[in-house]
Amino acid sequence: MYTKFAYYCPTTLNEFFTVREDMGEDGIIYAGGTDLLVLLRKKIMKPSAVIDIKKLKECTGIFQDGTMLSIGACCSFYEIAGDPLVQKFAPALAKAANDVGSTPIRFKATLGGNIMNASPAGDGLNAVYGLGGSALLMSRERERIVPLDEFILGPRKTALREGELLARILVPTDRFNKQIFFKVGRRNALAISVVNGLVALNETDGVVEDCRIVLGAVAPRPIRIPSAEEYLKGQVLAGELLKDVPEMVSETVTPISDLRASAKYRSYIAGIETRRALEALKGGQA
Amino acid sequence: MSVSFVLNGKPVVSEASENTTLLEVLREEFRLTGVKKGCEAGECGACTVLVDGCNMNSCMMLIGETEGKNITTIEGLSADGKLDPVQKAFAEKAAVQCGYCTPGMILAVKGLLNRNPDPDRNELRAGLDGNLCRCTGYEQIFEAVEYYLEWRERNE
Repeated sequence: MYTKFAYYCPTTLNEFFTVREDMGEDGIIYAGGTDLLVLLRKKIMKPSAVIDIKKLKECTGIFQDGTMLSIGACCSFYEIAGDPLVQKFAPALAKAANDVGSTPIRFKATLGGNIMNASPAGDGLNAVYGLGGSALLMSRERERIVPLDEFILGPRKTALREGELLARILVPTDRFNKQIFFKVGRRNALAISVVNGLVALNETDGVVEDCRIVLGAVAPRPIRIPSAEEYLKGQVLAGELLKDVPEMVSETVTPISDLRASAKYRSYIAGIETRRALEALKGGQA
Repeated sequence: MSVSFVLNGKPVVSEASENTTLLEVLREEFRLTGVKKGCEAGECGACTVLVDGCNMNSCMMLIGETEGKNITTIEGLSADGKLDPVQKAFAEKAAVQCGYCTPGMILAVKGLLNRNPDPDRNELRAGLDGNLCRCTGYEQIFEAVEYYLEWRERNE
């Protein structure tokens, strides 16, 4: 049923790089496997080896690193959703993590895998993108930090260079004081997002100083809504202000029609849900 | 490759080839056919087993990932010949129709109870979100778990 492949499970970063170099393009990196195993079973991918990175300590654990929240690429969505640091500093990411798949999937699927898969519908990906997060890449020679805006190039395409490993995901903790994540799907669980979004604000004395709106599954990559962001800066979120937001959203997004939803519906619901998210933040939800 | 793990309380070794899922190994190598093949894509829960107490899809694990883990299949719940009380509750409250989802569903319940010993209906519903049933409409399944929780309270 599956093509023949070897399984490697390096326990040190050095061992990982050696195996990776030996295998070249024939070896694929394997974390949770919830996306990969489906592709392997369908023989869409036919590697000669999978390299399990879950034992690399550089890819595990969640901790504060200065003003950044540092999340290991191999952290499961279950771990992320329940982590006290994530709940405190990135509650919208905790919510997104809990929206992924189902309980058994969340025990296994990883944030790193979600980001490397680079599906525009990725819940973890869009939450981190919306919070201004970055990828921490490790190679034999150096570490490199790349904001997700620059790292995600298109569906299944990232700016990962040869010899690099996505080891950690960094999320700023001091940039926004209000944040919310929403997901629209065809059912309450085991649903790939029809539209998802993260809205983050930095409000001082009720005035929006910084605003970031990122929507998923409505373009080939996560997409920001600069017109709405600029519109809201310097304003107090109140009453009539939000009624023009849905149109700004619909004019910016470029969704496709597929088996889950039509482009027209995605465009429409993205606008409505963005406005609803802002209304919820208006109510004081951080 | 040789992989060592604990299966239903006993240490075992699998000699399956590296490109095999835990689901295949349990059914073919260990003849534990209570673990069912459904979608083989992590979406239905028919293949659910407990891995270190967590309900997981055995179709979403390669055998190499099982090294050192503690695996329980549905067969492990009645290893001493007696039905586990959750199993009994399912039988008594008509939570089983065709029975195909049942092994996975019961293990998902056990997994939930390991994390949250006293779930309310909403937590139960959320906890079983990875297990599909086409027969019962889920109502009898929830009732069976609530019946078990009442029994457990009376007998503590």
